[in-house]
Amino acid sequence: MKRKNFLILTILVALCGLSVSAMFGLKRHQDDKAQQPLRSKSHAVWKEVYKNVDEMVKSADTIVLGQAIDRQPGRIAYSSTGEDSLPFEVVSFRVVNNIKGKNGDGIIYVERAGGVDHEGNQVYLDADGGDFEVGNSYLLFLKQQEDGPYYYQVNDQGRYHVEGGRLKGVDKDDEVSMMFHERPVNEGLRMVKESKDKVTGGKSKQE
Amino acid sequence: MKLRHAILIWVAVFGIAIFLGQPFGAWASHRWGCWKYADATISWYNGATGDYFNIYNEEARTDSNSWSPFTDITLQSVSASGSTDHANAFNGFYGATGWLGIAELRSVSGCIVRNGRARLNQSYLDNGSYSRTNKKHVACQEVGHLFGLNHNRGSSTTCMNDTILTAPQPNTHDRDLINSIY
Repeated sequence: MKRKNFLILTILVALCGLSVSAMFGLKRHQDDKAQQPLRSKSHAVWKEVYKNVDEMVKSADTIVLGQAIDRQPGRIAYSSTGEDSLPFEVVSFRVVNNIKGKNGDGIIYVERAGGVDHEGNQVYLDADGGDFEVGNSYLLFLKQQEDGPYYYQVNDQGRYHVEGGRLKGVDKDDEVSMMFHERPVNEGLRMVKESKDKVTGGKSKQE
Repeated sequence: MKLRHAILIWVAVFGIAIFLGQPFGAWASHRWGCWKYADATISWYNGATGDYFNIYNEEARTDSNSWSPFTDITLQSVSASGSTDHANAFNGFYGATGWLGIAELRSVSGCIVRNGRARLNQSYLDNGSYSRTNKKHVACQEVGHLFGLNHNRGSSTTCMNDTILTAPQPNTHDRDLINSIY
């Protein structure tokens, strides 16, 4: 084969490769758009974003596998001028497996933003994964409020919905979420326990 | 050159091109779904108080690299919050929520945002652990979300990076993406 022909064909092959790669990226983007629910959505700047599972396990006050059993309206927080309101709800979970932290009576209460505001508008916020569904189970990484009785999710890395025996993360682009995403529940729990052993220096006694 | 060698080289070139082309896909993924305002002229209501009022204005309109002059977006200040073509900004003590700020698309029509709300959580931001630069980063990001941008962890020069708090401005990638949306 002549050198000139070879170089031309090589450039064409490279352009084909770039095009295919870009098309896959575009298709993925379009698929994301097609799946976009036509509901209000939200994005958050989380106080803490973890680089790995160990950081999250160490940071969480409580880690549980729990079943959502109830959702109740909670407080309403107002902006500094009072013209904007943000409703909260309290979700009760029956603890199925307590991996870290204490929960006295086997029920844990998680507060999150969402619900009905002071003007009667439904506020749907899904930066944390959206509304919990009563009856469904979740692996949750939680912190306890300093000034209240409730827990809150550490961030969007800290929630995994159990579906078909597997864990489903919130952010499919996040490295920590992807460590758990699609894993069988037992495998995910084992990962958390092993991480807890590591960050606590091998003291794996369940609380 | 023998054809067999040429084919081997082409396979390698194709694989490398596929790898190098991935950033183009990532470029698209920094857009947040299909959300956008109807056009580049958006009503801007700053309902914040104290220095948060200044922070929002700096990030949205007055800094040289803020969203409005830096991109094709034009923010028209209005005196009241609205729900038709509005970006509304607030601050408050929202409590122990885990988030420093949150952007909410309160009402949309198809992919068109009608009522976007940005909120800064003073329960954390006022606890002494966060600098003014950190607060500006959060404000910049929440406003950027309202305009249709997603997080971008691949660059340390954009406020759309949610793993840092030290880049209180959009970068040229954000500008290009915004300008391609509007």
